[in-house]
Amino acid sequence: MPAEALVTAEDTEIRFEEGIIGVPRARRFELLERQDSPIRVLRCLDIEGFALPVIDPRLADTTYQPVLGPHVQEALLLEAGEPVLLLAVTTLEPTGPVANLRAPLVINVRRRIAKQVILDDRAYPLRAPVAAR
Amino acid sequence: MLVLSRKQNESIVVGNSVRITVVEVSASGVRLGFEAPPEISIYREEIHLEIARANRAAADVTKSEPAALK
Repeated sequence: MPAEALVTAEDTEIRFEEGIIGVPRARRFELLERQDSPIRVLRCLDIEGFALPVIDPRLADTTYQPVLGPHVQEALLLEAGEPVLLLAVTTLEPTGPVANLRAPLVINVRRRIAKQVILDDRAYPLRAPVAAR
Repeated sequence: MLVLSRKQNESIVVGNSVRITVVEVSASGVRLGFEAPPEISIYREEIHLEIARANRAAADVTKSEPAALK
Protein backbone atom coordinates (compact mmCIF):
# COMPACT_ATOMS: atom_id res chain seq x y z
CA MET A 1 0.00 0.00 0.00
CA PRO A 2 1.60 3.29 -1.05
CA ALA A 3 2.19 5.56 1.90
CA GLU A 4 0.80 8.60 0.13
CA ALA A 5 -2.60 6.91 -0.20
CA LEU A 6 -2.90 6.76 3.56
CA VAL A 7 -3.86 9.42 5.99
CA THR A 8 -3.21 8.61 9.61
CA ALA A 9 -6.50 8.77 11.44
CA GLU A 10 -5.02 8.18 14.87
CA ASP A 11 -1.38 8.63 15.58
CA THR A 12 -1.24 6.45 18.63
CA GLU A 13 -0.99 2.70 18.55
CA ILE A 14 -3.75 0.23 19.33
CA ARG A 15 -2.66 -2.80 21.33
CA PHE A 16 -4.08 -6.31 20.91
CA GLU A 17 -2.63 -7.99 23.99
CA GLU A 18 -3.27 -11.49 22.61
CA GLY A 19 -2.50 -10.60 19.02
CA ILE A 20 -4.81 -11.38 16.14
CA ILE A 21 -6.34 -14.87 15.90
CA GLY A 22 -3.88 -17.03 13.98
CA VAL A 23 -1.21 -14.31 14.17
CA PRO A 24 -0.39 -13.97 17.88
CA ARG A 25 2.74 -11.93 17.22
CA ALA A 26 0.68 -9.14 15.64
CA ARG A 27 -0.05 -7.02 18.70
CA ARG A 28 0.54 -3.36 17.97
CA PHE A 29 -1.36 -1.66 15.17
CA GLU A 30 -2.20 1.72 13.84
CA LEU A 31 -5.46 2.55 12.08
CA LEU A 32 -5.05 4.27 8.76
CA GLU A 33 -7.86 6.10 7.05
CA ARG A 34 -8.06 5.98 3.27
CA GLN A 35 -9.48 8.70 1.14
CA ASP A 36 -12.57 7.84 -0.88
CA SER A 37 -12.91 4.38 0.61
CA PRO A 38 -14.87 2.90 3.50
CA ILE A 39 -12.10 0.33 3.88
CA ARG A 40 -9.55 1.39 6.45
CA VAL A 41 -6.25 -0.35 7.08
CA LEU A 42 -4.97 -1.66 10.40
CA ARG A 43 -1.23 -1.71 9.92
CA CYS A 44 0.79 -3.91 12.20
CA LEU A 45 3.78 -2.29 13.91
CA ASP A 46 5.27 -5.66 14.93
CA ILE A 47 5.36 -7.49 11.60
CA GLU A 48 6.67 -5.67 8.57
CA GLY A 49 4.15 -5.76 5.73
CA PHE A 50 1.28 -7.18 7.79
CA ALA A 51 -1.88 -5.13 7.50
CA LEU A 52 -5.58 -5.90 7.73
CA PRO A 53 -8.26 -4.15 5.68
CA VAL A 54 -11.17 -3.34 8.01
CA ILE A 55 -14.60 -1.77 7.69
CA ASP A 56 -17.40 -0.58 9.88
CA PRO A 57 -19.37 -3.84 10.27
CA ARG A 58 -22.63 -1.95 9.85
CA LEU A 59 -21.81 -1.59 6.15
CA ALA A 60 -22.41 -5.34 5.92
CA ASP A 61 -25.25 -5.51 8.46
CA THR A 62 -27.05 -2.30 9.39
CA THR A 63 -28.45 -3.91 12.56
CA TYR A 64 -25.07 -5.23 13.76
CA GLN A 65 -24.95 -5.03 17.52
CA PRO A 66 -23.19 -8.06 18.96
CA VAL A 67 -23.43 -8.91 22.63
CA LEU A 68 -20.03 -8.70 24.29
CA GLY A 69 -19.68 -10.84 27.38
CA PRO A 70 -18.45 -9.59 30.74
CA HIS A 71 -15.04 -11.17 30.14
CA VAL A 72 -14.61 -8.96 27.05
CA GLN A 73 -15.57 -5.87 29.04
CA GLU A 74 -13.05 -6.94 31.66
CA ALA A 75 -10.24 -7.74 29.23
CA LEU A 76 -10.64 -4.34 27.59
CA LEU A 77 -10.99 -2.51 30.93
CA LEU A 78 -14.32 -1.06 29.80
CA GLU A 79 -16.43 0.85 32.24
CA ALA A 80 -20.17 0.21 32.35
CA GLY A 81 -21.83 1.55 29.23
CA GLU A 82 -18.56 2.72 27.68
CA PRO A 83 -18.81 2.58 23.89
CA VAL A 84 -16.37 0.55 21.80
CA LEU A 85 -15.21 0.81 18.23
CA LEU A 86 -16.10 -2.30 16.25
CA LEU A 87 -14.22 -3.16 13.08
CA ALA A 88 -14.66 -6.15 10.80
CA VAL A 89 -11.70 -7.74 9.00
CA THR A 90 -12.43 -7.61 5.29
CA THR A 91 -11.31 -9.89 2.48
CA LEU A 92 -11.71 -9.19 -1.19
CA GLU A 93 -13.46 -11.90 -3.14
CA PRO A 94 -14.21 -11.88 -6.86
CA THR A 95 -17.79 -10.90 -6.02
CA GLY A 96 -16.69 -7.97 -3.86
CA PRO A 97 -15.54 -7.32 -0.31
CA VAL A 98 -16.77 -9.61 2.46
CA ALA A 99 -16.58 -8.78 6.14
CA ASN A 100 -15.99 -11.16 9.04
CA LEU A 101 -18.87 -10.38 11.40
CA ARG A 102 -18.31 -13.48 13.53
CA ALA A 103 -14.97 -12.31 14.93
CA PRO A 104 -15.00 -8.51 15.15
CA LEU A 105 -12.11 -6.42 16.39
CA VAL A 106 -13.36 -4.70 19.54
CA ILE A 107 -11.45 -1.56 20.53
CA ASN A 108 -11.52 0.44 23.72
CA VAL A 109 -10.95 3.82 22.09
CA ARG A 110 -10.10 5.62 25.31
CA ARG A 111 -7.39 3.19 26.41
CA ARG A 112 -6.42 1.98 22.91
CA ILE A 113 -6.57 -1.66 23.82
CA ALA A 114 -8.32 -4.19 21.64
CA LYS A 115 -9.24 -7.81 21.19
CA GLN A 116 -10.51 -9.98 18.37
CA VAL A 117 -13.60 -11.61 19.82
CA ILE A 118 -15.21 -14.79 18.49
CA LEU A 119 -18.92 -14.26 19.06
CA ASP A 120 -21.02 -17.07 20.42
CA ASP A 121 -23.85 -15.84 18.24
CA ARG A 122 -23.84 -17.98 15.11
CA ALA A 123 -26.25 -15.57 13.45
CA TYR A 124 -23.27 -13.42 12.51
CA PRO A 125 -21.52 -14.85 9.45
CA LEU A 126 -17.82 -15.22 8.86
CA ARG A 127 -18.29 -13.86 5.35
CA ALA A 128 -20.91 -11.15 4.97
CA PRO A 129 -21.03 -9.27 1.68
CA VAL A 130 -20.40 -5.54 2.02
CA ALA A 131 -23.09 -3.46 0.36
CA ALA A 132 -21.88 -1.69 -2.78
CA ARG A 133 -21.88 2.02 -2.40
CA MET B 1 0.07 -35.34 23.54
CA LEU B 2 -1.21 -36.71 26.83
CA VAL B 3 -3.83 -39.38 26.20
CA LEU B 4 -6.21 -40.45 28.98
CA SER B 5 -9.08 -42.94 28.93
CA ARG B 6 -12.40 -41.78 30.37
CA LYS B 7 -15.87 -43.29 30.56
CA GLN B 8 -19.21 -41.52 30.42
CA ASN B 9 -19.69 -39.05 33.30
CA GLU B 10 -16.00 -39.09 34.15
CA SER B 11 -14.02 -35.87 34.05
CA ILE B 12 -10.59 -34.43 33.50
CA VAL B 13 -9.34 -31.40 35.39
CA VAL B 14 -6.97 -28.96 33.67
CA GLY B 15 -5.14 -26.53 35.92
CA ASN B 16 -7.13 -25.35 38.89
CA SER B 17 -10.15 -24.03 37.10
CA VAL B 18 -11.09 -26.11 34.07
CA ARG B 19 -13.10 -29.33 34.12
CA ILE B 20 -13.99 -31.36 31.05
CA THR B 21 -16.63 -34.08 31.43
CA VAL B 22 -17.53 -36.86 29.02
CA VAL B 23 -21.30 -36.38 28.81
CA GLU B 24 -22.17 -38.97 26.21
CA VAL B 25 -20.42 -41.53 24.06
CA SER B 26 -22.27 -42.81 21.02
CA ALA B 27 -21.62 -44.12 17.54
CA SER B 28 -21.95 -40.61 16.11
CA GLY B 29 -19.41 -39.02 18.40
CA VAL B 30 -18.47 -37.93 21.88
CA ARG B 31 -20.25 -35.10 23.71
CA LEU B 32 -18.10 -33.14 26.11
CA GLY B 33 -19.07 -30.65 28.81
CA PHE B 34 -16.77 -27.80 29.80
CA GLU B 35 -16.64 -25.87 33.04
CA ALA B 36 -14.22 -22.96 32.98
CA PRO B 37 -13.93 -19.34 34.08
CA PRO B 38 -15.44 -16.87 31.58
CA GLU B 39 -12.08 -15.46 30.50
CA ILE B 40 -11.14 -18.83 29.01
CA SER B 41 -12.49 -19.11 25.48
CA ILE B 42 -13.71 -22.51 24.35
CA TYR B 43 -14.40 -23.11 20.66
CA ARG B 44 -14.49 -25.91 18.16
CA GLU B 45 -11.17 -25.98 16.39
CA GLU B 46 -12.80 -25.42 12.99
CA ILE B 47 -14.11 -21.93 13.80
CA HIS B 48 -10.74 -20.90 15.18
CA LEU B 49 -8.90 -22.15 12.09
CA GLU B 50 -11.42 -20.51 9.79
CA ILE B 51 -11.00 -17.12 11.47
CA ALA B 52 -7.21 -17.46 11.44
CA ARG B 53 -7.38 -18.27 7.73
CA ALA B 54 -9.67 -15.28 7.08
CA ASN B 55 -7.27 -12.97 8.93
CA ARG B 56 -4.30 -14.19 6.90
CA ALA B 57 -6.22 -13.99 3.63
CA ALA B 58 -7.22 -10.40 4.43
CA ALA B 59 -3.62 -9.48 5.21
CA ASP B 60 -2.40 -11.04 1.95
CA VAL B 61 -4.58 -8.72 -0.09
CA THR B 62 -2.98 -5.61 1.39
CA LYS B 63 0.41 -7.13 0.63
CA SER B 64 -0.15 -8.30 -2.92
CA GLU B 65 -2.92 -6.14 -4.33
CA PRO B 66 -2.95 -2.74 -2.70
CA ALA B 67 -4.67 -1.31 -5.76
CA ALA B 68 -7.62 -3.68 -5.27
CA LEU B 69 -8.43 -2.04 -1.96
CA LYS B 70 -10.77 0.52 -3.38
